[in-house]
Parts: sequence; C-alpha cells; structure tokens
Amino acid sequence: MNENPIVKIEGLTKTLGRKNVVDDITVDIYGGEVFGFLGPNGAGKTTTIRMMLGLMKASKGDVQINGFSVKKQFVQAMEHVGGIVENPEMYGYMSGYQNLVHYARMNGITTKGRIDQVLDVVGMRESSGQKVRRYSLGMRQRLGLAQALLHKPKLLILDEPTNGLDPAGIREMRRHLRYLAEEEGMAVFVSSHLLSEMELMCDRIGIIQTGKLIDVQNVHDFVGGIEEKTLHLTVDPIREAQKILKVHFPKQTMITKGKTIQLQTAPDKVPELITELAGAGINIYEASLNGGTLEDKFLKVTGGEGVV
Amino acid sequence: MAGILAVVIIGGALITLLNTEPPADNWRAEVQQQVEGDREALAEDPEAVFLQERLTLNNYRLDNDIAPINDATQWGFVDFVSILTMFVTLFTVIAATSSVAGEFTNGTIKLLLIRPVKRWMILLSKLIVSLFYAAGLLLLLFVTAYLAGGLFFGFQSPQLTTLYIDNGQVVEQSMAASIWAGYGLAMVNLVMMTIFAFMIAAIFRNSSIAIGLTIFLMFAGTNVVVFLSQYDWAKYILFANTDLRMYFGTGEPLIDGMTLGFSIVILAIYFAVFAFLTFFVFSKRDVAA
Ligand SMILES: Nc1ncnc2c1ncn2[C@@H]1O[C@H](COP(=O)(O)OP(=O)(O)OP(=O)(O)O)[C@@H](O)[C@H]1O
Ligand SMILES: [Mg+2]
Repeated sequence: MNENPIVKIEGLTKTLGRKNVVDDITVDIYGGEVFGFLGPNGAGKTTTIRMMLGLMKASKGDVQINGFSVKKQFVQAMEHVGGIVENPEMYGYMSGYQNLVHYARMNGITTKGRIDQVLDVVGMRESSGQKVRRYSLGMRQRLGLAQALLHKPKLLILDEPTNGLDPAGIREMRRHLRYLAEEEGMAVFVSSHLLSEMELMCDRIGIIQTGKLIDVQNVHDFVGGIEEKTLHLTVDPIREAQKILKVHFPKQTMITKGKTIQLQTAPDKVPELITELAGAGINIYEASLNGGTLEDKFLKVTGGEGVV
Repeated sequence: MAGILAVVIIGGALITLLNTEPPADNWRAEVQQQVEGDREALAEDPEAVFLQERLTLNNYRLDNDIAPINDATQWGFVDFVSILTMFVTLFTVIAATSSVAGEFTNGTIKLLLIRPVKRWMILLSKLIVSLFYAAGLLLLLFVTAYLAGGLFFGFQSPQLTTLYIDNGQVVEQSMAASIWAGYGLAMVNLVMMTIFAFMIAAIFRNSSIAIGLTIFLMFAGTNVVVFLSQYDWAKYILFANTDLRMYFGTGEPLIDGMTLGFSIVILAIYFAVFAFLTFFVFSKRDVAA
C-alpha cells in the first residue's frame, strides 16, 4: 500500500428530501488496496459512488481524487477515475468495440492498441465485434470493466460488480481486482451487500448503514487478534478433548453437539490449543472460527437477516 | 428517416404525375380559356376575390409572356415538395430529443458524464450534431425532389418566374427566391424546434414523454396561434414567429404590424431563454437515472 491516499472523502453528505441519504462520510483510500463498501440495500452506497463520480452534487463535503476536487476540478478529477454505477449500460446498437472507441475518444486516448489491450484484460477480444444489445449480463460487466480501465485510472470504482455473474465470473472478477490493486497499484473501491464476497477480495471493508460509515476494518485482522470469537471443534474422542479444554477455560461452559465443541476464545490462542489437542492424540476433523467482530457488526446492522 | 423521406417524395412525384395534367404545349390557349371562363363567372358573382386575382394574374401572364409553372414540372415539383419540410422538423425533433432524453432512459448517461469533459460541452456537441442532421435532411429533401422531379418530369432550367399578387399589384418573383423561401427559411424553424426539443428533453429526461410533449406543443402551438391571432399579444408567442415565409412572396404576416425584424428579435429571445434553461438544467441537475 502506498503512503498517499488516492481518494480523500471528507464529510461527504447528501440530503434528499429531509433525509441524509449519505451522512458525513470520511475515509481515505490508498493505491494498491481494494476497499470494500459494505451495506444493506438502501444504505447509500450507490449515492456515495454517484457523488464520487460527479453524477450527483454533494450537499456537504467533497471528494478528492488524486488531489483534485470533484466539485471544483471535475475534469482533472475524472481523468484519474474509471467506474461503473449500478449496471454498465452502453449503446446497444453499437458493437462492444465501437462503444470503447467512443469512450476512448472522450477520454482523449490516442494510443492505438489500448482498446485491444483492455479487451484482452477482460477476455472480450472475440466478442467485441458483436452488438452490445446481444451481450449477456456477464459480457456487459466485462465490457463495463474494460471501459473503466481504458485511460489507466488511478482509481477504479465499481458498484456491485459481481451482480449477475456466475461463480466462475465472480472468481474471475476477484482475480482482476486483486491484480489491478497489487500489480498496477490502483485504488479499487467496490460496493456490495455480501460480506462473504467482500472478505475474499478486499483489504479493508467499510460498513455503511443508513448513510453513516459505522466502521472500517482490515480484513486481515480476521486472522489473529485478541477479540473473542466462536471456535467450533469437531474432535474424537470428545471427552478427552473436553478435559484438556477445561484446563484452559475453567470458567466457560462449553456447548457440545454431537462431536462438535463450541467455545469462546481469542484467535491468538487457537494454534496453541490445536497443538495441544493433537499432542494428546485427539483426532481433529474440523476447526473453524467465526463471529468475527466485523461479521457481528454487520449482522447487527442488517438485523441478522439473510443478506450476509 | 432519410429513407422514409425519399419514399414520400418519390411517391408524391408519382401521384402528382398521375393527377396533374402535363403542361400544355400551348399554354396561351389554356390560359385564354381560363380567362374567359373566369370572366363569365365574375359577371354572375363580382365579389369572388379568388377569381378576380386569378384573372389579374392570367392577364398579366398573357401580356408579359410568362408561362404558369405546373406542379408536374421539375421546379414546380421542387417548390411543391417544400411542404415536406414538416417531416424534416418532425424527424429532427425526434432525433434531438432522443439524443438527450434517450441517454437518461437507457442509463447510458452515467458512463457518458463520468468522462473528463464538462457537461455543457457534451450538450453543445449534441446540439451541433442535431442541427447538422436537420440541415442534412433538408438538403436531402431538396436533392431528392430535384432528382425525382427531373426524372419524372424532365430537367429544366431554374430561371423561371412565379407571379403573386400583393396589395392588388402583380409581383414577379424568381423561382430561386420561392425555393429559398420554402427550404432556407425552414432552417430557422428547425433551429428553434431543435432547441425547444432539447429543453423539453433536458427537463423531462424521458424519451417518450419528451418526444410526445414536444410534438404535441409544436402542432398545438401552430394551431392555437392562428386561433389567437385576433389578439395583438399573440404576436409574442413563439409559434406566431417561427414561419418566416409569412414575410416573403404570397405570405401574409399572421398579425398586422408584425415585421421580419420583430420576428427575428422574438426568435432570438426565445432561443436564448431556451438555450440557457437547457444548459443550466443539464449541467446542474443530479443524475439519478
Ligand atoms: N429523492 C429521494 N428522496 C429521499 N430519499 C431518497 C431519494 N432517492 C433515494 N433515496 C433514498 O436513498 C437511499 C440510498 O439509496 P442507494 O441507491 O444509495 O442505496 P444502495 O446502498 O446503493 O442500495 P442497494 O444495495 O439497493 O443498491 C435509499 O434508502 C433511498 O430510499
Ligand atoms: Mg446500489
């Protein structure tokens, strides 16, 4: 991760009617990281993205992209950002290639071959001659990504980029985004309402609820850390295991279900426990930690309903 | 659009060919015959203005040796077809509206407006393209009419003279001037309707609503103005001023006292207001499409 933030969001607020749909959001995003913007439906993700891209005017606050204010230096700011807001709608009566030619011109790209390059990156070289009208949703998403990468932006903003993609497509999108952040040093800003998806592709995740940025966490804090989480252990024989664990957690009542023991522990202690159990000749079939702080918070935010 | 226009013109040429008697070899005899008929009719009804004017014109023709221009001749046809500029206006309004409102309806506006280009420049380029489109269609209309007229009725030198009556006096007008009034002045109307369509499109942001509303206002406006022409203030209405042909040739100003200069000033004011509103709304309003 670089030292200087590529995006500085400062006190960003959007008031629609009487409601602050986006409420005083402040966060910096750095080159080389994938930043996840996580929130339930209607939280204000798309509205934030629209303001970052100058489609909507901020009621208060501002966004700086590569040092340029979206409010005051719109043109310079837009030179350094590529993105998709909701669905990547393009001109259906033109081919994918012609659409890219159009956007390249508007971005002042004169280098020949850049279009072919981005088509190769997203694997759309073959179908770029077809009319966009005939594209599947997955193909549109790919072309959308190609369009956003044309001018080699420092910041890439994608609003729910995995929407409508199949599992293979999601994996591929994830790989693209990791590559762009790690190898090209881009700052990648992705929104989603799926925590599981975000954990796999992001370095940091910010949770937004009813317009407020509630929390920003490093994904890698999930591994290790001293805050307690729930550990599930599937072991045999279970009585021996319980005896050993009792020594470490004298005060805890462990919940046992079949061959699984459930207990609260800090992630830091997990390796030690496992070594000891294994040393005592106990077979460990499965060990899993969950209920990380981020998930807890997100569950609270979403009311524990099926969106996670 | 261009195809439809060409088909309409060629169809028009065929119908004209079938329904109009070809120009007689001896036009003097024909005109003479009409003069005699008109005289007899006038003897019975001396107040018939139309017959009086036709008689005056025909006498002038015979005295000055100016042949009447038949619709079934090349230039007669070109002149006749100039009423089809109405279609050019219609097509231009549709194209102009969808080039702005369509981007919102289809959602393509988002990827368009996140480019490093000021919004007003994007709108200006759309306006320029729409005006070129209008001019192109107008040229196409003229060229197709010229060719169809030539092919169906035979090519002809444009050095012809048309006659009309102004304040009881017979006035000679060259064919070129009449054609210029028919086609060239249509461009003024096209420019006004294009900016009008842009304004409606920028405000409503929905192709069907914007196209429907623009066309409705355009036709309703033209008719309402005729209806209101008894009131003096009606001369300040946009649609009272868009058809500048009323100041040329056989045209009559819609309301007494209106002059070409007056209409040009009114049109310029409307244009400025429409353009300001369009650019203001397009540049400032949030895009939530
Ligand atoms: N004109 C308006 N007046 C008041 N509130 C509005 C208006 N337009 C949108 N909203 C509200 O703004 C909120 C934010 O919407 P936004 O599209 O940013 O959410 P989102 O996080 O992108 O949701 P999703 O996951 O469904 O895409 C919504 O709760 C919506 O009800
Ligand atoms: Mg959204």
